[in-house]
Formats: sequence, structure tokens, C-alpha cells
Amino acid sequence: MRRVLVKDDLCIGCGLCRVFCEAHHAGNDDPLKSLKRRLSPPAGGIRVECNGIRSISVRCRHCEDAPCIQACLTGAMYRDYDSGLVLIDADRCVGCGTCTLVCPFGAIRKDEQTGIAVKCDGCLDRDMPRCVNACPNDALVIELKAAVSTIATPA
Amino acid sequence: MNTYEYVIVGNSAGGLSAAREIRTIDQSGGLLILSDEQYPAYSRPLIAKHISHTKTIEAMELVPREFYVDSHMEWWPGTRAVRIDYPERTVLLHDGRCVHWNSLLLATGSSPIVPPIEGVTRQGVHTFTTYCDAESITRQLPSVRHVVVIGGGFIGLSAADALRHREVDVTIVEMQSRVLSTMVDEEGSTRIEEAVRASGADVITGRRVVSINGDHPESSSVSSVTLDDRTRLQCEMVILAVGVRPRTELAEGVVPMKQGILVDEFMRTATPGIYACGDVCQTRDFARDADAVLPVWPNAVAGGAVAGATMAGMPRSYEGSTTMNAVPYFGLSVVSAGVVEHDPALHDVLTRRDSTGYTKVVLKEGVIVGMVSVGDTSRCGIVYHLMKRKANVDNWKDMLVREDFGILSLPDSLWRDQLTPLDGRLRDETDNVANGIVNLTTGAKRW
Ligand SMILES: Cc1cc2nc3c(=O)[nH]c(=O)nc-3n(C[C@H](O)[C@H](O)[C@H](O)COP(=O)(O)OP(=O)(O)OC[C@H]3O[C@@H](n4cnc5c(N)ncnc54)[C@H](O)[C@@H]3O)c2cc1C
Repeated sequence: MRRVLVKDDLCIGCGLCRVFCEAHHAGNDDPLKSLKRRLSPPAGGIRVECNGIRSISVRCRHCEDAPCIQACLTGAMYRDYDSGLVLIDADRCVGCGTCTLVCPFGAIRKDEQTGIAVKCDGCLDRDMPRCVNACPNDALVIELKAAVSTIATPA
Repeated sequence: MNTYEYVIVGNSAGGLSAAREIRTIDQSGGLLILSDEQYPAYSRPLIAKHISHTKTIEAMELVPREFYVDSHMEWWPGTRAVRIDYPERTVLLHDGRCVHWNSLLLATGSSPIVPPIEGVTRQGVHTFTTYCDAESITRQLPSVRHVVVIGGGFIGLSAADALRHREVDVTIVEMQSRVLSTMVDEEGSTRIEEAVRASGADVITGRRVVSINGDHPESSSVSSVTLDDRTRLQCEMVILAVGVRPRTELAEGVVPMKQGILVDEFMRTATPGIYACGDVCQTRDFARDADAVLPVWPNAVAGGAVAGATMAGMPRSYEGSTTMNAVPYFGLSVVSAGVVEHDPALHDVLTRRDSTGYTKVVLKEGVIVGMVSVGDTSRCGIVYHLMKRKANVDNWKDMLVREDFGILSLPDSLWRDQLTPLDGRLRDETDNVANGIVNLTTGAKRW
């Protein structure tokens, strides 16, 4: 499984991760083109928090025991067995917000335009998640983890 | 008589979750799921979408149709369990068949309350808890102009919202002084009522329907309802949404119960071999520190998984749940959890309001016990998590309702190791291997 972690002591709160994430998910790698004149941000999965001198880039950490999957009313939130990531089936999501309510990191939000949930999808279409490529201070790192067996064995 | 290692009564949130969990532990023990509905497991909260967006059952099904066969389970649709014999460990079915079980899970959910109102059996009166209900409502809709929804809880609002999409006139009649009175506080209710009215539906609160009338003596169809102040509302359809109650009839006399079936933290009833989960049982409400019936979807799924693990011989305890809900009706995002109506003698309350939103957090002795949020709900999960962990937030509680509230508002100990790579993981290869981490790297820069 590949996921992005943040070294918060290196994060300078510049917000480039969020901007490039949104641009990439809006279908264009050039933020100036894809974000031009939009009134609300397009679907992206990152929130950048700044608090005094501290800042952090927050996204879904694809929890092993993901509360959002258990809470999802429609079966839209699922674990992708190939990548190990927690993903959203946009056709099934109705935007009720139950996943948002149970996410300990506030990493799932409702997209204003589509009315359905959005969060980090791990950029499975890319060699490297877009945010990691965009971070100027090496605060974002990817963690590659060998797949863990999901089948439990009786005690 | 067939014998099964596991028999599950109910094929919905709780029953299906238990069956899946059993199969991750025991791939071969005989497993039978009984359901008196005709359909494969589907998302019950989605039934309104059949009315509003003509979504069919296929779009609501929780698992692919091959699931049962592929997972070596038998699923008998349209089959009702009518009696449990104990200690024989058998269950009798409506068609006279009988099956023997080693462990039995009662995931029978809840049934809609049908209030004793005159005329309640008339044609055009519907309950709203199954896909079948949604189908019969949709079938009748072409001949309907006005609908009265009795009950302004989330099931009533869900029906009303869907009916407004079909542009029929809707009036919600709520006996309490406000809608969603068990889910949100007064201010939350006010905001929702505004949204309901803005959609063109009407809300009448503090009134009861006393009779459901038909104007033509020879016809059994609905044509109006009468309220307790003698107001008459014309309507061709009535939807009963006054609440649900645990469907305990099968368990009567076999397992102890109060409001619902009593279970321990492993979802075992007091009768060996019989388990229960979901809407039909009482579980731990972690916000109120009491046992209660918690008729919400996530509680059924999580409790079902615990029941399944216990039944398959790998017991783990249930952390409990609480009253929690997120509803997107009438274009308004509303979430709530735990205690929403505070008692000034017991609770501390923090609030923030602006033109689009409203947030309230309820604390008891420095620990969060409840929350309501209307509008921007994106960070309410952080609050919910603190509530679940019973974290003492007394020293920094004012942060909880600030506009810039987030992970950084929390003490490091509550989030740091979850979001950041630990130094050890970066430096120590053996530790990395032990953690299954192959590589930790930053990419080439591109802007
Ligand atoms: C319209 C509507 C909207 C909702 N919206 C939300 C929401 O937004 N959020 C939320 O958290 N929750 C919501 N809920 C509640 C949620 O659907 C329930 O909490 C959940 O379905 C409970 O799951 P369960 O498995 O315990 O029982 P149920 O889903 O009630 O399933 C029980 C099953 O057992 C079957 N059964 C019962 N007795 C027998 C028997 N003797 N023999 C054979 N079969 C039997 C029943 O037919 C049924 O299929 C909503 C419910 C409704 C009706």
C-alpha cells in the first residue's frame, strides 16, 4: 500500500499540495488553467491547516480499520484490494455525510458541486501522488507498505 | 432437518456484516441467512432514492448477487422465522420447514410503529422502511397531488424530501413542537424547518393527526386527514413515520430483553448460542454511559461484525456506539451525535453560528458528550473522535467551535503518531521491516 504522510516540522503551510491536488483532480495539471474563475474549489482531498507558526497538510490516511467504511450507508466507501487504499464509488455515494462524521482527521468533505464525498484517492493514476511532487520542502513523503493479510486466523 | 453451524435471521446491515466477518474467520462452516424480504441486502437509508431518482434495487444492493454463492452461504429470501425452540436449537420457518443451528444471530432490525389512528388501514396509507414500501408509494404517485407525512423525524423528512423532488405537495405533521427533535437541538430544528419550507413543503408542529378519512363511503381510499384542532388537510396519500421499534417478536420468551434484546459486549444474549446485533438490541451508548437501543446503520454494521467474530470463535469486545446521524435532506447538511439537548445543571455548552452554519458541542466534566453541526460539517469527525475517546478537553475546549478548528488545535499526543512518519521508521531499517514498510521517500519536484 502506498500512502502519503507528512513531516509536520517541515510543512510550511504554503498550500501547494492542495492547489496541485485540486488541479490534478480537475483534470489538468496546470492550476492556472484548471482553477481559473472557479467559485468553489474543485474536488481535492487535502486540507492545509495553519496555526501560528505550525502548519500541517491533512489527508486521508487510508486507515486499516477504517471507520468510514463501516459507517457508509450505501457501500460507496470501500477498500480497494489491489492498492489497499480506501476509495469512494462516486456512483453509489449520496453525500449523506456519515463518513465525514466518523473520520478522526476531518479528511472527508462534501464536494459543493457534485454533492458527494471527496477525499484523497492516492493518485493511483500517477507514479507519485501529485501533492508529494508539489511539496517544495520535502514535507510530504510516501510510505510504501507490503500488503498485510486481511484474513484473520482463529486463536 | 438441515443443520447449520450459523443461522442469521435478517439480511441487512447487521446480518450481512456478521456473515462477512464469520467468513473471514471460518470459510467453511455452514451458514444460512434468512430474510423475510424478497431482495438481496440493500441500503435501507437509500429507499427514498427510488421515489426521487427512480433508483432501482440493483443500485442499492450492498453486495454483488454472486456474493452469497461465492462466499458459500445460503440465503433464503422471502422466508420468515416464526419460532425458536431452545434448548433444541431449532428455528421454525413460516412454511413449516425447520432448521437446526449451533449459533443463531438475531439481526431482525426494527419495524415501523403504526399508530392507532382511525382510518389507518385505508388505501393510500404507507409505512416507509422497506424497498417494497418505496415501490408501492412510487406506484401510487401518478394519481397523487397532496401527501401528508405523519412524523418529522429523519425517516419522515427523508420521505418528504423525496416527494418534493416529484413535485407533489407535502405537509409534515409533527406532534412535538419541532422536527428532528431527537436528533438535533432547537436551533438545529429551526434551521431545518426553514429549509423544508424553502423547498415548498409545509410543516405543522405541535399537532396530532386524529383521523384518516375517505370522503366516499364506498371507497376505502384516503382523501383527507383531520388534526386535533379539527383542521382538515386534503391528501390522497399518507406516510406513517412516527418511529420504529425493535422487532423482538421472534426472541420473546427465549432471550431476556428490555426495550431491545439485552447483549453483552461480545453481542451474546444471556441464552448460550444466541447472539443479537443492530436495531433489535440494546448496546452501549458511549456518550451517555448507558445501554440503549441505537437504531442507526453504523451501529448495526459494527455490532454485526463483533457478533460474527464471537460466533466464529474469535471474540472481541464492542466499543459501543451512540445516537448519531448525518442527513442531507432539503439541501442542508446536518450531523449530530450523542447528547444534543443539554441540561444547564450538568453540561457545558460551546456554540458558533453564522449565516450558513451552526455548531454546538456539549461537554460534561471536561469530556465531550454530544455535538450538532449544520452547514459546514467537514471537521465534525475530529470532535466525534474526541468524544469517542473520552478525551479531556477542558483546557482547550474553546478551540472546538472556532472557525479554524482542526488537527492542530489538538494536543500533539492525540494525532501526531497517526499522521506523521515516526523518526524510528525513517532511520531504523529493522523497525521498518517489522512494520512492513518497504520504502519511505519523497518524489522529484514538479510544479
Ligand atoms: C427510510 C430510512 C432512512 C434511514 N436513514 C438512516 C440514516 O441516514 N443513517 C442511519 O444511520 N440510519 C438510517 N436508517 C436506519 C438504518 O436503516 C437501520 O439502523 C439499519 O437498517 C438497521 O440494520 P439492522 O440490520 O439492525 O436491521 P434492518 O435493516 O431493519 O433489517 C432487518 C431485516 O430482518 C428481517 N427480519 C426481521 N424479522 C425476521 C424474521 N422473523 N424472519 C426473517 N427475516 C426477518 C427484516 O425483514 C429485515 O430485512 C434509516 C432507516 C430508514 C427506514
